[in-house]
Amino acid sequence: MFQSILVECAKLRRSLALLLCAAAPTMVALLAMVILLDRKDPLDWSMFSTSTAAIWAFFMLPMTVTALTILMAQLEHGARSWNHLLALPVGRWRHHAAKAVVVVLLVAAMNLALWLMIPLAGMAVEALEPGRLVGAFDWLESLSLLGRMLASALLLIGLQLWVALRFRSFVPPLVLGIGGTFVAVVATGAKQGLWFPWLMPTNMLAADPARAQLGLAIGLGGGLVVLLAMVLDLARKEYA
Amino acid sequence: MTAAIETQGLTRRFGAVEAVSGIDLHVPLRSVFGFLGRNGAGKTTTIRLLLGLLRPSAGSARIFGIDIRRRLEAARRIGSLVEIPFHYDHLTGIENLAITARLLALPKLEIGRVLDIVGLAGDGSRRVGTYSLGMRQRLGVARALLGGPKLLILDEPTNGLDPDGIRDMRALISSLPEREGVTLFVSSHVLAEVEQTATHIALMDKGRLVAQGAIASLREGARKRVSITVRQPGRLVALLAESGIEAAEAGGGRVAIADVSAPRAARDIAAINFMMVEHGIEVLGIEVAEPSLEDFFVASLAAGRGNPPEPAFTPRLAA
Repeated sequence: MFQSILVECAKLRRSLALLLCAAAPTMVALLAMVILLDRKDPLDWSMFSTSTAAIWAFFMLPMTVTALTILMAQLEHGARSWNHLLALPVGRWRHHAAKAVVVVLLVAAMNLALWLMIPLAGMAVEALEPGRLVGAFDWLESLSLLGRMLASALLLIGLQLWVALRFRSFVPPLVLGIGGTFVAVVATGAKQGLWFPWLMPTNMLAADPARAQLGLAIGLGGGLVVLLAMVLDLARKEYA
Repeated sequence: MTAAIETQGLTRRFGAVEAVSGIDLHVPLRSVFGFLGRNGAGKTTTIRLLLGLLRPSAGSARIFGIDIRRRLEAARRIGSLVEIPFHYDHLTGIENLAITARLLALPKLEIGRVLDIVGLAGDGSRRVGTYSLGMRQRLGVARALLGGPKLLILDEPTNGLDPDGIRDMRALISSLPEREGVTLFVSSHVLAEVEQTATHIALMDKGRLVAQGAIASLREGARKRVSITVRQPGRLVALLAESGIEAAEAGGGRVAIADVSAPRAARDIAAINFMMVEHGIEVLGIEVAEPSLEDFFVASLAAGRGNPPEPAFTPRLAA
């Protein structure tokens, strides 16, 4: 299994997937800077950190997961390499499981990058216009929030990856990702949002701790179930 | 002796369509086996069944005696190239091969070995996106050779190649049985290609196996084409008809004779020649054409579809 994960990492060399992983958190940090510079009143560091994480969870994370899973799947669909990979004397589940592990690792890396970029963005604004931020950046609180967002995003990662790997065309996963994110944006406060996979990371910001806890359980637990089902389903799939 | 590939009643249906209908293949060890058929005849579906990419609707298949349902065990003995081999264009040739080598737990030396076999040793560090189609095909063969499989399954390996690429691929395929000790199973719809490299062939048509066997024995059973150029072709045709031999004028003084079967061809031609001399027919030339795979192909397809086989001889071919 470890060799399969290394193989998936090797395929990413010089690929657009890595560029995407660098660009997504950078764009969020830059946007947070612009918003902060545009404000008239000073902002608390904690609020700056949370609102930047909210931009990430609300829109950029689901869209990036959509793009990343499509790119990862198209590495094989585009190269039509399933014929080769699945004819090798290697358990088929390994290819799909390794892909899932690498996608989760890349999303984790993006969350980690954002965790580092939030204070950097704040410091850059402070350097340009001192006094924009008050208080101190709470590293642990920020890390914990982004960590919970990552864990709760497992369900949407699983769903997006499954559809991206199952269909040769990139259109079905793209439609799913855009549709899911759109519904999440317009129905954020809805009661049903508690169960909506694309809203799980945003639910980590809920004022009600019970809602956040349930979101984490559904996102993480549901994600593990979906990923397991994906691996089993794709291992049995025929390639005509 | 165990065959490299042996199938019994191998069948695959897609809904109401039977893409492969109960085929019984026998691929001898160390043979270069040409798997012939038009596009859509069921060749690629058969290959996908052998590789475990599809499950049979009925029947069975064995690779070196191992049932393909024991996929991992059977797959260890197979290297494959299915349809046009695509690679990761953003990676180099070596990096592409390293992916398969790592999955098969092979040492890095193996990459150099297979690149050397296919003549890409000097291009391994280039990105595959810059490769020509011929180089991609050869890289596909190199990938299939990783780990030294005993059976290579190549699906249309010359598809889309220019004449130079076809020649290179043909030379590579011909060299592999001796060099690597492999059995080669090569599908193609280009008869001339297979004729030059294969020791055995099988012919597929509409999902059915129409014929199979060693090329030499198939040719032996086929009819030779004989063309005789004389001063009086009309007289010769009449004379042959009197002797029960079907013949026709083919223009330019040529007389085309059908129904000369290979095993007794020399005897028949000698008898005809003697008859012409005896009747004072001036002979300008006798041409005997070996039966080609195309003749066999056309006749087998016609027989398989219940049509009368086309005449083995046509004036155009006898010229």
